[in-house]
Amino acid sequence: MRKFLKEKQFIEIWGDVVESRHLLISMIITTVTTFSLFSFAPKGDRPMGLLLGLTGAVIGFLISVFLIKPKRHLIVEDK
Amino acid sequence: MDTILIIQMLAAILIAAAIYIFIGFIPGTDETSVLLPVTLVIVLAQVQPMVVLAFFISAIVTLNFTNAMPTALAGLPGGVLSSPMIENAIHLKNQGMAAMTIKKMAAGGLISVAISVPLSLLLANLLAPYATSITPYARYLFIGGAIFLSLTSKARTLSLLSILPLAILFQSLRHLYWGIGLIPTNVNITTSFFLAITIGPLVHSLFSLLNKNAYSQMQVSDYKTIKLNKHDEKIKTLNPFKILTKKELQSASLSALITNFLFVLSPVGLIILIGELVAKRSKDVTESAQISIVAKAAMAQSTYLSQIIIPLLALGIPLSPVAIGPGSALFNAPPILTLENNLHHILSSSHFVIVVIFAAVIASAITYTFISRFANSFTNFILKRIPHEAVLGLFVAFILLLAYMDAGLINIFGVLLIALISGTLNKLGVNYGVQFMSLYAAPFLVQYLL
Repeated sequence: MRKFLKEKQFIEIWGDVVESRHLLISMIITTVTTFSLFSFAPKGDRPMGLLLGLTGAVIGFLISVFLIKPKRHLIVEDK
Repeated sequence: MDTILIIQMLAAILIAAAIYIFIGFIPGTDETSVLLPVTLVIVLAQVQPMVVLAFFISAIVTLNFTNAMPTALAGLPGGVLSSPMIENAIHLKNQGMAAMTIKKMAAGGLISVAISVPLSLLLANLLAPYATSITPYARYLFIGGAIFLSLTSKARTLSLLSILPLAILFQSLRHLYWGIGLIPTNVNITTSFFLAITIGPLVHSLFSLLNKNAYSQMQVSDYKTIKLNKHDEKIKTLNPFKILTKKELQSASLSALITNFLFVLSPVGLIILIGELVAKRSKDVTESAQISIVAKAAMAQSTYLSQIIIPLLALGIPLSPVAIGPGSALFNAPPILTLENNLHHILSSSHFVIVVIFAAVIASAITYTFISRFANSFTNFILKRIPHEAVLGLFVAFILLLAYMDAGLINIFGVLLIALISGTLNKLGVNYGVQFMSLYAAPFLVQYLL
């Protein structure tokens, strides 16, 4: 776990490459934004809770997109 | 139907197309996880049933078109249904034919929509008179479905053996929540359990990261290298009959036709099975890969369309993998929709038919044109800008939210338990179909065991 957090380590998960620390950061950011917005919904108002929660998830997603660089080398071939 | 309703439906179709064009291009976005929560929001917000249906049909048509794009262009699966296409896609890409492949896949999809919409509406109409005699046996159909899907899967014995333990797992959590008074006994938690199954393989992989041996196996030394073919403008036409060869056209049409009749079977299973069969129509490796990938793209559309249209129009009970999974909010989203009062009961057949055709035609036209024009540049943009980490983070947040909303903090761990078990079973070969059917059959199965 300590190694996991300190070093730059690439892992292949679900067909694509991620960096373990970045994955952790993205999961934390998106979960925090999701539940922060969700907490504004009146208790028992399910549609509003879901709507706010999903909006929070999208915001977290956008923050992650902004902060994290994709781990892909793109090569355009001329065939 | 008044003008305001038509405008609302049109808006729903356009919004769905816009959202799912974007999502479809992102690799690894699982269909159920991206369709179910959004549909659920719309249903629970008490949007008009016709508008909900228009949104959903537009969403699945768009998603199945666009999921093929990262598959063909980057060799990364757009969704679950694109994983069987990867091998063909990579072969064709290595031949420098990616740009051609996307046009062919889109053309195959378009032909399939044109066949599947009328055919599944017709099949639903033929099946509808028997609905009242079928519905009381729904519980046996779910049990039978779980057994049938087990028998047709690769891990036959393992799948059969996992049905009862899975049923007990689901029921034990439900009884726990009822027992401690967390939720009323007339409420059956399903949404978060569905998503737990869907996200199982991902949770399994994430937990494997915490195991040293598994971690080192998943470790790679560098970024993923993705080769993209330079955009070639050889095919300018949008006419699918000119884009596809005769063999491709036949295979796509025939696959779409057959899968409509087999609407109770798992889409991935059908795509693998029939995709391999049609590949045998040519001895040439490249031609065979093309025929196969076009048929698979066609079946992505035909399975989703028939599996939502037939059960919804004819029966009102979710009797297909799509109806049970991604489309379940149209059948059961308490308190708005229940198995006794859902879109099937609320909408008249004529309204249903009009909405489905309206949505399918508009969504296909938009997405098909978009793909033909922008597939290359948009894929490039997504691969450069959207990190895989953000996609995985989004899924994790989705599932945590839905788990919490269903039954509070304890259910986050309940869902984790289900995800770990179904993820493990999934890696061993027990497919989603068997697991979803077991979830639906769980209450009855446990009763029989007493």
